[in-house]
Amino acid sequence: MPSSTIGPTQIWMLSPELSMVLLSFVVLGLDLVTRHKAPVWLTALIGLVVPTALTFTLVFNAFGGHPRSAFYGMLVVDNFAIFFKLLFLAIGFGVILVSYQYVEKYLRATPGEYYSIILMSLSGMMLMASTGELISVYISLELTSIPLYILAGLSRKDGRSAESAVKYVLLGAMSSAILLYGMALVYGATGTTDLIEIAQATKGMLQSNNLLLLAGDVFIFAGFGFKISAVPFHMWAPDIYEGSPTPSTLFFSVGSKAAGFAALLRVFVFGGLAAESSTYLWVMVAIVAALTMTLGNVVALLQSNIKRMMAYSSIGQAGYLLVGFATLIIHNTALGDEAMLAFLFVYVVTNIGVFAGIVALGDATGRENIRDFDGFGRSNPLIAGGMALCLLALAGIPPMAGFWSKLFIFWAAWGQGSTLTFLVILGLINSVISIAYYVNVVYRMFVIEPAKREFMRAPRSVGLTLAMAVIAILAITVVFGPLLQQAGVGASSLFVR
Amino acid sequence: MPLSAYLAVSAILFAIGATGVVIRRNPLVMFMSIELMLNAVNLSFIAFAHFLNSVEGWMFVFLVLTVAAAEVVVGLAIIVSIFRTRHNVDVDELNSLKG
Repeated sequence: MPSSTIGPTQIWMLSPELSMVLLSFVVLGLDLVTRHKAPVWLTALIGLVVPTALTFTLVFNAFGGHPRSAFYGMLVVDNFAIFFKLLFLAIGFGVILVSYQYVEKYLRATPGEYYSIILMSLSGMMLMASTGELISVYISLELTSIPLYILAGLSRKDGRSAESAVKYVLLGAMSSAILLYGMALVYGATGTTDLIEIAQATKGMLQSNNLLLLAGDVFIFAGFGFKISAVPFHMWAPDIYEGSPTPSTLFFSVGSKAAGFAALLRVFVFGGLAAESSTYLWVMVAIVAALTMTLGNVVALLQSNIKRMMAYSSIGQAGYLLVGFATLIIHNTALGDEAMLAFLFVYVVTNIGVFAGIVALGDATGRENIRDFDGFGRSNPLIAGGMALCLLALAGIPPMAGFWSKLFIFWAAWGQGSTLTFLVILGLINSVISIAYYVNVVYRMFVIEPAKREFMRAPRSVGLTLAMAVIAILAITVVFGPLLQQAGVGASSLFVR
Repeated sequence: MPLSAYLAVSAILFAIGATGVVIRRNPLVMFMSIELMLNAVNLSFIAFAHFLNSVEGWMFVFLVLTVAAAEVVVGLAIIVSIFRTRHNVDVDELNSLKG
């Protein structure tokens, strides 16, 4: 039963998001007061401690226990939400830390805007993980997306940045219209927008092939398909990744994708839209997963720009995640869900590391083609080594972190009956293909001779980000258990309504 | 009128809007098509709310209207900024990113 009072407890449950919004206004205001860049950046970075601390008070129930939902069921704070909140905060730290030199160099006019837009989008992402209503899913989705459109077009002098922003805003707006149409149909089929009530109302409806509900499911999946860049809704990703400023590309590739999956799981699992292993649904998801994996990994082989390559790589990774989602729909157990959360965590950490390397190269040379990495291993062995480690972990070379997370997704899909054998085999083939383009970059960095041999200095903040990513990857590689356990706790809380 | 009549109109409007986004090349017209899609959604929300006798559909429509306005503000600002650099907003001319 949703609690119907609004008091200090409810405000406390919303406090991570509230403090995030407040911080974003402070950063924006600070830009007016001071002309220096460093205080703005430091405020944004250190200020993130406040929402993080507030999230931890929720983890440990510091002020006594809190109810599961607040604001008439609009906000749900369970372990799933908290897992994602901490993931988004980690993303925030990584993205802001890596941005300093880039903003200084390429976005001179607007440091305050840049950081406050990132913080605003982060607050939307954190809300997205803890929504309990279709209405709040939509609002938090837009709170996440609208700042991202601005972020894509922030480097105003660069024509490519403006171009990617136009494409992003048009396709993003269209995708939310599709999502909304799905929500309208689900509302029509069930008569409510509350996810818990939807889960109760849909019992038996999918089995009897209720057309309204099925169409609503498909439209909602398509709407989220844009956000997670699943084929056939992936076409925006490469253009926007290439055209946007590099740190914002990192933010799109990890933040937007993780938020998309958080909302997808929240609506389909917690909202019970996929609770009945409907054949239509899982076949659709399985086909999308197969196409997404294959297209992402094969087209990534053909790219010459590193950011485009990472875009297709992220499409391929979304395909692996969708394998977990298909498992979840068929078997309706927390196993696929758990594998997806662990996979997302590893995906986020490795991507932050790889993009730190790309930012470092861009900072030194102003270029971002794959061939510009020739000899990077000699001009800056530390950065190149860290980036190579992250690339290999992303590729899933055993015994790195990415190997375990991928293995667990495939194991979950394989483990329960033979329906998804085809997907698992395709996934393994794709993993082998993907090694080619990840290792290509590493090969160029360490084997090919550079055009000129000189030390390439990397900004300290970028080095720090990379170091933290590497430490996290090594830690996960050595002890994968705790991550899996946390993912399991988060995943199973989705099934408790 | 039965519910299905409203839903049919809404579906047709949505399809027209989606077609418009796909085939038109001017970002302003594309935005108008997206607005058409959103209004089709609003129509079905209101029709459902009326026939289900529930208030959530009405609420949803208000929020969709406000958020869509915010989205269009950002979209128009971006279109203005691209017009300043290129003096042309046709999306077929926006082809420096491809591959």
